[in-house]
Amino acid sequence: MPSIDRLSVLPDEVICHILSFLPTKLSVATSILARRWRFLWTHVPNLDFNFEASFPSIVNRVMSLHRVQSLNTFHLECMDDSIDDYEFQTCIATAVERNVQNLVLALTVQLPQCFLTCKTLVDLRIYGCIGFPSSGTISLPSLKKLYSYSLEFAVDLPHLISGCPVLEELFIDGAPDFGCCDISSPTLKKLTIDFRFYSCEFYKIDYRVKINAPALTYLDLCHCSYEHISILPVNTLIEANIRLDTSPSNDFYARCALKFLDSLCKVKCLNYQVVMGYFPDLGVVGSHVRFDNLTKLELYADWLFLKKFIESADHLEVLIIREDYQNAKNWMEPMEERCACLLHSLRTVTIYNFRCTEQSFNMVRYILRNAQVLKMMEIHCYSYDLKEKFDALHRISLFHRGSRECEVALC
Amino acid sequence: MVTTDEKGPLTAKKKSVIIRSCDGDEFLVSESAAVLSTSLKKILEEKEDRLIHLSDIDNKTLAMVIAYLSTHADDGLSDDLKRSFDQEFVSGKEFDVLKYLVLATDTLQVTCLCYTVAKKMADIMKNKLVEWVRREFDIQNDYTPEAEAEIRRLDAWAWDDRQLEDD
Repeated sequence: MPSIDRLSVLPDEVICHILSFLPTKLSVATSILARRWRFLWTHVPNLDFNFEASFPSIVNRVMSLHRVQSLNTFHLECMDDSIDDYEFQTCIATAVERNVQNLVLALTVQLPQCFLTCKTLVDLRIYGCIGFPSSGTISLPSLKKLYSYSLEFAVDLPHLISGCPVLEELFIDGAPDFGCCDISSPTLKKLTIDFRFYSCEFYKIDYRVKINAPALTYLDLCHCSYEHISILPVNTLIEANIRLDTSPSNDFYARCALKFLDSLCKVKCLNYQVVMGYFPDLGVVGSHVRFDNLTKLELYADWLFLKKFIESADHLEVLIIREDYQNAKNWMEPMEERCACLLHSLRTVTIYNFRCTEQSFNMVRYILRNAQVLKMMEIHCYSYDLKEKFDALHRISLFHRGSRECEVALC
Repeated sequence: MVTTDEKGPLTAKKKSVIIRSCDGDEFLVSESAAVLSTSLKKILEEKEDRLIHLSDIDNKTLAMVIAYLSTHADDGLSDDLKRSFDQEFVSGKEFDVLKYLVLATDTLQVTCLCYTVAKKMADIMKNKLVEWVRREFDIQNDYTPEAEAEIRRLDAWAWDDRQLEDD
């Protein structure tokens, strides 16, 4: 049996692995432990700096001592804006030389030219105001993930994307200050755009985003406007979360919204939110595009959309409806007598913020009567008034149910 | 029913292996769990023997690793459940226990668990005093007071706040 001592002595590689989860400042501090630990930190594959004050020259001292030829993650965070450009450019150049794979930058600086041709970079995350070199070839042949939480992302985005031949994930959270922008990538799988800090109505920001990503499987759009964003049809889409801003209520806008929605017709799971005071009858501007793959739908929108989906999503299984006082008004029964999803696939319906209006009772009555294979309808009342809830339950329990197995729960 | 050739790929067979710890205790493990360890997988590919003797891993540690492997080999569990199992697995464990675990998972090449344990150890090390770390890692301070002072002077920035400071 080996002695416990032998078992408890960790080899250098294992210690370095543990140290790789510590901020570099702490892993450097372990050099005080004993002679064996004096330079162990120089073999840790990650560097992680976070400075509250100015960007110190210490980073370059650390990097000159660091012995790793393949830098896994380089994380640099600095609260102070007054960064010595030379110091910063030197450390980024060193990281590129050391074959950096994951780069996280949270500071306000101009990136050096050499960064644009980093062959090893796989994952780039930017927080803050990062300036890209305005000219020069971009070639990031390994870059798969690009995340920008940047308030001033001063970069020609289409140009950047064109230099990333294997890009799979793009995340933009910040200002739409890039004017016209084509997001065009044959390899892109996951796209998130969120302009949450900028109400374009308020700031009068004009922008256009055109998405051409034929391999996209996941799309998340938040706080954009239908007038400003368009997408070419995607056949590979699995999940889409579309939550767009309150926007002008007019026919033109409605048409933009519908056209956009129809481009997503191959999607499997859709979370769709559109808040408008008035929405023109979809029969006028509507289309006959079918949502054949759609199995799960979460809707926070005018109920004209509910009608549209019941008519066009033949394989819908799960339906979640979030009601608000504006969008519950336009319930109309589907024109077709028998909708395929009601006959064959719809299993669960959940309604949140049920407001006990005549419109909402009509909608519930219609679904209960026509859904032939429904197993569960769960209704969450908006009101906490017990009497109102009890009355609603009583009323709904008397509705005819097309499916014998169907349970109704009121919460 | 799936039929598998006796010489077919190892993962396709519903077989078990016996793993013996350095204390001599034996554990019966399904092959699908064992092959989640890259080292065990290699051993099983190379030899017919169904008994693997691990001279570097004690009973207690081996039992924990096997519990982890069996959970992750269970197809009936969702990825979310497995992830929460991992978090539960390392929480509340003594630093010393984690030390044996990180070593065992490194030897057995169970990458995922090795990552989780190493990360947990790093989290514990934060905000600890130098003497604490020396004690937990069985480190004998072999610096002369002068040498130690010199290191502190050279990398003064690394000690300018409360983390990993001296007693």
